[in-house]
Formats: sequence, structure tokens, C-alpha cells
Amino acid sequence: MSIGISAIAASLPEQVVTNNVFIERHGFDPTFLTEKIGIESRRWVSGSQATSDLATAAADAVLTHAGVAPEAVELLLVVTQTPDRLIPHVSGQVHGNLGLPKTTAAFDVSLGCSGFVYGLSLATAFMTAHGMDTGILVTAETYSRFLDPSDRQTAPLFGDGACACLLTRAPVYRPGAFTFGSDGGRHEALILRGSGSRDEARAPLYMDGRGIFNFVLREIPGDIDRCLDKNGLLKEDIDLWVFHQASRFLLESLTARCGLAPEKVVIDLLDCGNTVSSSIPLALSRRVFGPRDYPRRIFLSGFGVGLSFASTVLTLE
Amino acid sequence: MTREDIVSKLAAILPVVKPKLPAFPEKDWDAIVPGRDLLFDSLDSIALLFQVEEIFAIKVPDDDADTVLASLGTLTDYILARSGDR
Repeated sequence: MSIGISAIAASLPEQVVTNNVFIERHGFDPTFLTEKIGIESRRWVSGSQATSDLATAAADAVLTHAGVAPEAVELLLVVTQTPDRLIPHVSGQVHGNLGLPKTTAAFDVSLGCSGFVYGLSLATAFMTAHGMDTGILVTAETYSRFLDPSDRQTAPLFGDGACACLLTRAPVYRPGAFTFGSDGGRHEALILRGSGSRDEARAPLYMDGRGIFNFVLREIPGDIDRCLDKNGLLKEDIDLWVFHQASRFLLESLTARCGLAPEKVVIDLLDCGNTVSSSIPLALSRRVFGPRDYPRRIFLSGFGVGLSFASTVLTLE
Repeated sequence: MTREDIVSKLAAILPVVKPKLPAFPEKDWDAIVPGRDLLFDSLDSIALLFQVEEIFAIKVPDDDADTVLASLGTLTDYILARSGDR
């Protein structure tokens, strides 16, 4: 049996940050944030909370929910771009926090909004190549730590959170063929300067909103067609479209551009914001796995920082 | 491409323009673009610029966006200048 998703669990911080903060600070029209952007509130870490805390909680939750012992975990892959520290990797910390076996492979992948789909491909391929039966794919981000509260382009958008997917050979959903893409020439469109080895001044997160919007509308429709073709499917074969939950505006624009039925496209960021690499698994958790409402085929596409994108189709087993 | 050709194409993406065609005198062109001063300097402006770039095969640098979208007249002039017609 091939590897797929058996269960999903999420961990969101307790602190709720409502739109009132941004309405007062930036003078936003309240209906703009809820109706155009699609966000009423988002969760931000507080105190000493960090990415590994959210990642650990999500991974622990998925093991508990699925009744799987930590001793069974053979792979722990964490997708994050906001680690607690540059060194060590977050998966190492989570491995220790959960008491996973010393034989577990634990490593991080640095990707953002495309990270869940890339991570799903990496994790399933790794487990298949090495004959593993049980693994956890975690996505975790704490963008709030790196935002400029005065930047109206970024501060209202992002929410913190983590998701953990249990990957086994008895899945609910199995991923099909993947497509991938990169546009590294535009890597400065979403950037956190001064956060690594390059000698430059530290700066909060910068995002070229218009550039990313254009990138998505230019690249993703073609990638959707390529992915469908690679999987031998047509658009009408897809029951649910789960894209990276960037904003309602972007999702509606992409839906219209691709000619998709709006009722089949998930828009679910009202109370969590853009959770970066967790946005797709969080939507799956809330719309599919949580209510046990299992459509036959789900199209996933993540796109963003890098710039990068990846797509696949989940098929119900 | 004439100014009239440009306005006709813009009518497809500027709903406020379409009802006024064909009887839309040039003297009334200084009006009408979507509201501004929202996130990303107007998400509607971002979407509009994207469509303008596609339809007319031009690039609108960010620095030009404010002046380009000041009015239908400035938008038309900008497209006309970059489409090669004078």
C-alpha cells in the first residue's frame, strides 16, 4: 500500500488578535478586512511561545487522535521558515519533546506557502524509499514574530499555527502525481532581511503584494492544468479545491481565472488568517477530516515565498 | 490602436465604463477607476493593472501605478503611449 494521509491535527496559539487592532491603527474599513481579505481574527503566539511549541503540540495531537504510539514514528519532517533558532532544526526539538525513537529520521525543510505540498511529496517519497510505515509531516510558522505592526500590507494577513499529518500505509487520502515550480528571480517579493548569514540590516517581513498576486494568476492556472494532466484528470473530476489560503481576494481571483465552480473552492481563513505552510492542512482538517466529509478527489496547490509552487491531487482510498 | 479601441477594451474590465459606451465622449473620460487606499494600495487596482498588462501587452511599473490609475483618461493615455500609437 502506498503512503498517504491518515489523520490531521492542528495547534493554534491561544492569543486571538482581532481586526480592531488594525482598524484603529491603520483606519481600515472593517468590511474590507472581513469581506475582501477574508479575515476577522488571527492567532499569534505570545510570551515565550515559539514554533517548536506549536509543532510539538500538533504532532502530539495527531498521534493521540490516531492512537499511534510515539515509538512507531519513523519519519518526522517539519516544514518551517520561522524556526526557534537557526540552529538546531525544529524537528530535532520536536523529536526530543515527544520522546521519539533514536531511529527516527528527523529533519526540516525551509519552505513557506508551498511547503505543505512539497513536504507531502518529500515525506511520502522518503518513507517509500526507505520502507517506512509511519511518519509525521508537520508545518509550523510564527510569522507574527517578524511582522512590522505598522505595515498595513502584511500585519493584518498572517496568523501563527501548526498542523501535523500522520502518514501511513492505511491512509484516508493518497496523493497522486505532483507538479512543482520555482521563480527564484522574484525571491525578493517576500523576504525577511537580516535573518541569516547575509550581512545586512535586520528588517521585518516585506511582501510585494502586487508582485505575488501577479505571480499567482500567471503561474498557477498553468500548473493546475499540468498537474491534472499528469494525474489523467480534468477539472470536472475534482470535487474540492484547496489552495493556499492567502486571502479571499486572491482565492476568488484565482477561482475566476481558472473557471472553477466557487462552491468547490475552499476559502477558510476567517478566524486564523494566512497560516503560511499550515493553511492547506488546516483547511483539510476543518473541512474534510474534522467533519469526516470525504470528497473523492481534492486538488491541492500551494504557492508563495521563493517564489515557489506545487500541486497534487488527493484521492480517497 | 486608437483611444477608442483602448476604451472599448477597458470596458470589459471596468464595469463602470461599459454602460456608457458607445456614447461616451472623450471629455468625460477623466473619471472612474476603482476605489483606492485599501490594502496593497487597492486590491482592485492590483487586479485591474494585471488585466491591463495582459490585455494590452504592456508593463506598468509600481512607480507609475498611482498616476496611471488617476483617471480613465490617464489610463488610456498611458496605454496609448506604450502601445506605439501617437
